[in-house]
Amino acid sequence: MTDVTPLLTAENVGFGYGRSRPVLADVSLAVAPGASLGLVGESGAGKTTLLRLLLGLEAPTAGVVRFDGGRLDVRDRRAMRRFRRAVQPVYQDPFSSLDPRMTVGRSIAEPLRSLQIEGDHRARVAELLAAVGLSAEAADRYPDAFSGGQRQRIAIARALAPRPRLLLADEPVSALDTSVRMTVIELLQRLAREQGIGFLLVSHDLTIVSALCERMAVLESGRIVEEGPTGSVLTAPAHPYTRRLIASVPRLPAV
Amino acid sequence: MTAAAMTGLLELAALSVRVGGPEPRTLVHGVDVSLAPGERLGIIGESGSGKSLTALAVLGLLPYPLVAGGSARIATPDGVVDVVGTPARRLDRVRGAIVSAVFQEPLASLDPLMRIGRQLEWPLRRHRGLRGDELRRAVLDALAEVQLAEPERIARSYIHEISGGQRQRVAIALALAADPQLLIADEPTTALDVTVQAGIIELLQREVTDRGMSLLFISHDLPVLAGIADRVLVMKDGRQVELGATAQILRAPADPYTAQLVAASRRLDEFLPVQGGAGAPDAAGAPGEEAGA
Amino acid sequence: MTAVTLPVTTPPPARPRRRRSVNLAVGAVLFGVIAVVGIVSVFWTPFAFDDTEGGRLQPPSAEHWAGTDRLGRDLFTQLMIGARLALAVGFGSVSIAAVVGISLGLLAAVARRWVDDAVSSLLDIAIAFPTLLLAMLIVAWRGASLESAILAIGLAGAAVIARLTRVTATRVLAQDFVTASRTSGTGTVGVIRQHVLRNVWPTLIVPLALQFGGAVGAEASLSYLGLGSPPPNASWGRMLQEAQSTVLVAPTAAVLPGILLVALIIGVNLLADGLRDVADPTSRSIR
Repeated sequence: MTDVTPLLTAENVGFGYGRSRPVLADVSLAVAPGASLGLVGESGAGKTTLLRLLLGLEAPTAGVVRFDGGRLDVRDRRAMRRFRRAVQPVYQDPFSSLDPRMTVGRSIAEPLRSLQIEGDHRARVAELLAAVGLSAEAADRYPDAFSGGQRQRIAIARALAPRPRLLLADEPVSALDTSVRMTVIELLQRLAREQGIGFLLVSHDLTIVSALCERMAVLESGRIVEEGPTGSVLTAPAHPYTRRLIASVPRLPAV
Repeated sequence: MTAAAMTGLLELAALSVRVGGPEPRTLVHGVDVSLAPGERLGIIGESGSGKSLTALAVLGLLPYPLVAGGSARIATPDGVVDVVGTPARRLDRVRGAIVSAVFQEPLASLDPLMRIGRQLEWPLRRHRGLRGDELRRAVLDALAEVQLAEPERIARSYIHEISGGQRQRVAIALALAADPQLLIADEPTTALDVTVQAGIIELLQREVTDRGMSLLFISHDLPVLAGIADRVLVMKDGRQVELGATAQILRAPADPYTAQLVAASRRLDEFLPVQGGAGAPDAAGAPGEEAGA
Repeated sequence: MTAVTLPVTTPPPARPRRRRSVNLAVGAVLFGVIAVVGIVSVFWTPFAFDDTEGGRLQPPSAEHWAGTDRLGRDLFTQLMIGARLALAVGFGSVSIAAVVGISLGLLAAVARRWVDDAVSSLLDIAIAFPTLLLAMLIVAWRGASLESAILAIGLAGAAVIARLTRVTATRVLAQDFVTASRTSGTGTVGVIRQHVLRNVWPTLIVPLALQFGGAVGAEASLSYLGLGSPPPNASWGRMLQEAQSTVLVAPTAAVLPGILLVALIIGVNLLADGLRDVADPTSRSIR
């Protein structure tokens, strides 16, 4: 545990609709600046809901979400703007995360416009495209000219536009072909190394969590059942669900 | 290739898939492979490789305006049938009884408006000629065989009332109802949670072994395929790129694309701890993995 | 979970290309010719509208190209003015339908549940209400005039557009890129302006174009019933009604307005089909 204020925390967060069983219950986690946390869970675990809460798109029905120590309040516009500059999402489906009727350049520059970030937007877009390994001409094309992996890189470029300190990624490579996954994983690793960007990665795929996150937590039916350094959890899982999860991953036979 | 008797169960020769019309395009450029009874063949390819279209061509289920070329010959008790060029009515006798399929999304391949028991009755009544009590018992037996607990409850349910893994088991039961000799599974576990995947793959393996069936397993995921297929056919952009024994493909791929695919899979696999270090002893995993301590 | 794919692998997306469309060509010609005639009528017609020197119910001649009506007025002039009127009705009511419809639809899509429910119920009632009946009510209230007709037809059409907008906008709002937009700091208005509108309007092109044809037909019906705009506005519908009693003596007066009405409506419909062929080749019409 460091004594630096964590960048993003959930404190005993719960979410539910009325009387039925809550989607999330008593979830607590913290991401330190520059650190990475993987959240592993299958469908129905509540990952998507937790992400929405951490992005300030919904308010928890119990508990608190904090950004930089302060409570996340959707109504405080200035605070939200600071939050949005610092925390940005990357979505799973590269085909629906970009507006098909907007040029790539305009999509990437949208955070710059909406968060009123000064400077030459066009130059910044070119810089961002270069950072994700795409040429500057891509800015004038439409998303349908690009492959899934390229679109995901464009989505990452957009997330990087306001110079965030934390990326919240929801299954960022699950929809991509195998040969393309490494490219995106390596890109994210490089960003973490060179720019000190942290990740909160939500996935059912232990591979990417292992590749990018120092710490991981396992979510089952809305509760965190295990948490710890990724290496330890994967080699010596304590909770039976975690063990089942690890054992279920198809492995390449050794040759 | 002569028109004489086949040795295997399935023989694909220059199988192709084309789109006609104002802008003709070839989507699958010619697949050559044969499958012996009891053999398990995996087809691996990324998006756009044409692997699913190949499966549909073998089933004679290509949607308009796609059209198959070449030949896909299947050995049936009534002689050899070439799916390409055979009228749909004749193929009805082949599908279900000789060749059957399980697809990726059971919500799309099962009838949402019919109770599960009734859906199973159709092939059982048609292909095995069962009626009345015998039929009902056969339905429950079929559901029990795919390891669904409470077969009576499942038989009474609609597909949206059960989980994804259960649905896929129902789809498998349906596919096996007429006792086919070849099962085609197109990404059967891709839409499922990883803890459920292992169970489904184990079920498929057991059924195929117990019934002496052949299996055509299609996937984009090499570790999954490696765990179930004896031979692997690699496809890229509609073309057949390599065909060989699984172990050979993994150890020494001949084609550069295959090599790249294997290398990428291996790098991803290496992020996870060495096998044998974790995992409950009772969980199913890839062959070659030692049970955890 | 990975994105769900159905058992068919979609072929790689075709590069967008201008498609030649017979529908578009024929529709454009029909519509274009009539539109030109209507526009020209603003500046020039062979005769003044109420010039009754020609003699009653004359057949077509070198002087009166389409003959004269029962009051001796030149028919060709009336047909030209009718074209202008039809265009005015078409554009006018479609504009009203678009503005009112899209606004209501967007409101229902972004507002709270109860607002959405209220608006949807309102729309359901409006759609169930027969256009012509609504038109007659408005005409009874405001008196027969071109504006009344356009207002009535436009409002009737707005309901359909509103419902379509609501459905499409809801679908767009559920997309990841809208969520991404919100987390980029964009507010609801910004989201609508930057993302929703441009993804919704293609779906509306064809219905609006079809409403144009419907509006022309509706106005003709109103005029036929005597509820349309009074002279000197010459509606093809009114011409049909006037020519009814003398159809055996002077067939031209009855047939020509009918032909033009049919031509314009078919032309607009083909144009709508053609626009869809060109804009969205995946939903090709049966040809």
